[in-house]
Amino acid sequence: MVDILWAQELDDYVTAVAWDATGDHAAAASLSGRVRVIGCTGTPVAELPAHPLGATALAWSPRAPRLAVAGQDGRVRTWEPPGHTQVVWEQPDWIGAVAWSPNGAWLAMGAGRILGVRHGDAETVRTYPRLPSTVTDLAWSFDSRRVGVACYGGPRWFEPGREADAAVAHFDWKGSLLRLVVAPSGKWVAAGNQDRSVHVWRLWSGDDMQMTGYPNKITALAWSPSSRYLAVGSIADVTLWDFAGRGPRGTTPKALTGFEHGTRAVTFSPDGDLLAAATGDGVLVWEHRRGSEPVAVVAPGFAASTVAWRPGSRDLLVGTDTGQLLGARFDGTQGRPADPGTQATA
Amino acid sequence: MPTDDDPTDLETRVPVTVLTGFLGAGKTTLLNRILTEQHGRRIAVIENEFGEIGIDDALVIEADEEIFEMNNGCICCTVRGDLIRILGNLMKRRDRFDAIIIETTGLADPAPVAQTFFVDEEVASQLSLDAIITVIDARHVLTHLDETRPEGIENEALEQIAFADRIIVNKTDLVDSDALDELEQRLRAINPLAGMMRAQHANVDLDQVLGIGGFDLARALDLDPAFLTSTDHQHDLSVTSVAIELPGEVDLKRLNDWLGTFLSTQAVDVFRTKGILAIRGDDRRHVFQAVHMLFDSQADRPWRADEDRTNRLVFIGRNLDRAELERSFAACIA
Repeated sequence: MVDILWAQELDDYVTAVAWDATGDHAAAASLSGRVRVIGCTGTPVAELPAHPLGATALAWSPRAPRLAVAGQDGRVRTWEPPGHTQVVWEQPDWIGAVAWSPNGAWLAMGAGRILGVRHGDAETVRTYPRLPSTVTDLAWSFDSRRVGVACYGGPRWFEPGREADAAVAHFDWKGSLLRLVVAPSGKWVAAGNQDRSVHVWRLWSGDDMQMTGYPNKITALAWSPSSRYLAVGSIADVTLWDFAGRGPRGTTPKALTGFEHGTRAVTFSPDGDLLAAATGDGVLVWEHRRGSEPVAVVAPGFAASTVAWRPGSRDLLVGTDTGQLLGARFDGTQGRPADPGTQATA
Repeated sequence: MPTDDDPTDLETRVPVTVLTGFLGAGKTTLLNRILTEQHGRRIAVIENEFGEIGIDDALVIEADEEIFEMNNGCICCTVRGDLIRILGNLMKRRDRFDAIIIETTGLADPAPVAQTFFVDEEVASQLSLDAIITVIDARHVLTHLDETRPEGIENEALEQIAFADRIIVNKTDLVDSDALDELEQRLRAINPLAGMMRAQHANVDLDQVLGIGGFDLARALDLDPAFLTSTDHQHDLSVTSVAIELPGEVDLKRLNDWLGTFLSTQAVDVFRTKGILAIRGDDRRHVFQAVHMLFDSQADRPWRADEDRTNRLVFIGRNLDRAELERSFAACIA
């Protein structure tokens, strides 16, 4: 079902993995401070300068083979093939998030309570006035005009194309946001929260809804490519909210099960048919429209810290708690018994 | 809630010590002593203000105090967002630390720091709040305690003493012994549970400061019986304590209902609650503690055959009504 294609070491907890837009390169960051760029077969391409105290976030430009990496040392670096590295921002506080705009023109970065935005190859980074609390995540609007900042008190939206420093929109809500993800359709933004809830706003009306009752703070959150589903990782399941029709208000989500020790990341395959979750019990893969039991488990027994699908494929890149980096391929579900949960009865 | 479903094993969690005390009381001196004398242990220090740590091999992380309220409307559920992030990242590392020390600012309210260990499930599963250690300057603390504050503004010195598991009365060389006795009496009236230690240049026995956790709680509750019945505490203090002791076995459901109601209605006034309980149908002692309305209990050793199954609870806070507490707790006895 799943073949492990290759494995390598990154010394400590893998904090982030990501593929570039074409699937030619991937990058992985670790709390050891190491950051590695690899080719699609796992071949090492570049070893970036270490981030003392740990590398925390990375992102590829959606439009070019351009990588941004950040760390607890307060530095953001970019890397471009064949091997050009540059420090683009340096701050006293650790960098918690980096995000490219969909058009690749802007790079947003969060250092402590400061939002910084860099345009193209500009020498300088524009910084905004201190936010009420640390920037925990960043997400761009579909049209690349606005960047949303996750911090205490609801998402705030900034328009770097404007002169003014003030937020152009603020979805006021008393809670501590940890993750912020915009639906590919551009219609919704979802926040995972410290208070064990998910909050969803409609862009730009600000109409909102809340999903509560989780046993954990929400840090694993993903939209399906069609924007129909929102997946939310919990301790022993991944819940799937259906945004079709009138939306999920008043509905009960589908629960995908098969693990017990927490979700660290969730992500839909590029074709939208599969959902992968990095959990304390390995990476689980579900055919989420069919059954609620996983169709495959990558590295069972290994605590997986993060996972990413290679664009245009069913290949997975997996990082673990102890610093392994694995390449895996999902081969479909042939030969497996049909999931009893989805069997029609006569 | 006091349940036995999943008694967390204290041994696997890394102990965290919180150091509080006014600027100049001797926190940094104590910290440096710990780092020097505990050489060889891996200790991570989280600091809120520049101290002069003289040890190079300790991992020192600076924190920017970031307090926020949880969204459930209770002002007692304020936590430290910066600590959640820093501790979360520390615990992901392959190298585990033997101990973590958090040094707060002189004016810090210890409650959000302590509450962080209850509210965030990731922190709670990997770390245990070992003790809140409050260092006070024997010569100046009374001045701070007696400072009158406008209505609604907290006296930080009073809070730091009320929340403490250990109080280090430092700089005893600067006051005479009568004044010291008087000072300790005053401190004991605020917080009878904290172990009190006298020190000069923070020269305390570190075994009494680090790794004292559950053991300390059980022992602290073996109080002088006189304290349990005494009613002549100084009533001029805004923060006092009430201890109740009742033989018999507690009905778990009634206890949970009572504690839930009591702590949530009086959450602002009740700083800390600690107790040892005999639960009906369980042959182990249950050790209980709360910071404001957040509570946690652990199954302890079995009751000994020669031991009376007696419940002891101590409340530290403001406007505590002893008669009402005794009456309502008695209703929980099965």
